[in-house]
Amino acid sequence: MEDKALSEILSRIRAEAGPAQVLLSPWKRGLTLLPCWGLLLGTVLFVFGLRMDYQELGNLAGGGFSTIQVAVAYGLVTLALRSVIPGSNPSLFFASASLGAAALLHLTFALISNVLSPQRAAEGEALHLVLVCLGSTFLLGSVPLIALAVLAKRGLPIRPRLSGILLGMAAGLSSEAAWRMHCPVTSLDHVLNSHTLAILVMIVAGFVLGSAWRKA
Amino acid sequence: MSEEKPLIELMIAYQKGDLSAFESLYRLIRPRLRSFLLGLTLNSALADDLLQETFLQIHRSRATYQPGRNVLPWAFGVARYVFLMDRRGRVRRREDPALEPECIDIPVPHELDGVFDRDLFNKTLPLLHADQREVLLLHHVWGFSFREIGQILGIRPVTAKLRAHRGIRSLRREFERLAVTDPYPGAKFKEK
Repeated sequence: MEDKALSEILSRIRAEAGPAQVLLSPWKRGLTLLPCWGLLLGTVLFVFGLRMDYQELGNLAGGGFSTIQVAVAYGLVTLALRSVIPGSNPSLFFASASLGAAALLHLTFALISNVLSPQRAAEGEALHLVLVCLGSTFLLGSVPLIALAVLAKRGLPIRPRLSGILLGMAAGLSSEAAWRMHCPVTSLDHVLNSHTLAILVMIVAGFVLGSAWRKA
Repeated sequence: MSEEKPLIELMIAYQKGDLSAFESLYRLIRPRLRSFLLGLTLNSALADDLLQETFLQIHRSRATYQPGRNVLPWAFGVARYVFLMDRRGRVRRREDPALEPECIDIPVPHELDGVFDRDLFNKTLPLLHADQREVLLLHHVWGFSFREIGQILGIRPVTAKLRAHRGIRSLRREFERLAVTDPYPGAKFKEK
């Protein structure tokens, strides 16, 4: 019985029994996020330019907040890539707590930026700016989301939707970190309705991606 | 686990394309994976089908094994993935995800033979909640630490501990219901 089963498996796998290209550890594979972010940041700075209130914000609240946000996004990517390696899944509690902490950090940065450099959108331009920021952050975020999804697809996700949400949040945070280097509007209604909403849309995109993995 | 070293060496050789290493690996881990799947499905025919699929999946996913790490938690993780995929497929096809449970026979390691009454254990096991049964088997039968169980199932070690504890308590209740003396006198739960 055992030998019959084994020979059946061997006959099926023999054709593709070459050496496997071993996956790097999740924290090394997660570094893919950094060139992606570099690309987004370069695009934002060269095409749209640095935000005009950068001097008022200073290096910490200007570039520092973005860097910290990307570091947090990198942590989420590492978690997501761990969650697709059998036998090394992060707990649901830890993953949820990490998502919550990342969201809190993003909101805290938005609040501090608003205190340091309160900037509102000009009369009649608020909606236009919301749409521009929402669309740009989402479009920029789709680059790391696709790249990371390709990486994650090589694993076996036990909770594909959770893995997708983690990737979506990471992609959203990194694209927002790049876009905030250009967008000078810090009023909370603008940030929540465009930047934060774009992150939420990325999370939903990650969830949809995870659902697709689940069905595949 | 002391037996992990040869498994790690076999797995690394297999990743390099050595099929004889796969054969040795198959013979070493097959009984454990089968009994794990039997504990999950409570159906020997389905467990055998899923076992075949698990080894095929192990082959397709051999690149995801991180050299040097313990092989068993990884292999059990793959088996669990295959089980979940099968269950999701059944739900999608509107089939009953849980087949009719049958009288199963989970092999109990020798060192636990004196502690478990094997027949009663196998009779009462299907009565446990699936989550509790899974953790109980992983810890008490296959000897995984709660940390490893947490990583296989994607739960906190403390949650795994709690489920095992509740599983033992439910087993005790079932034993009492069957008017049998407590098979775990003074059982303690220690993190391995």
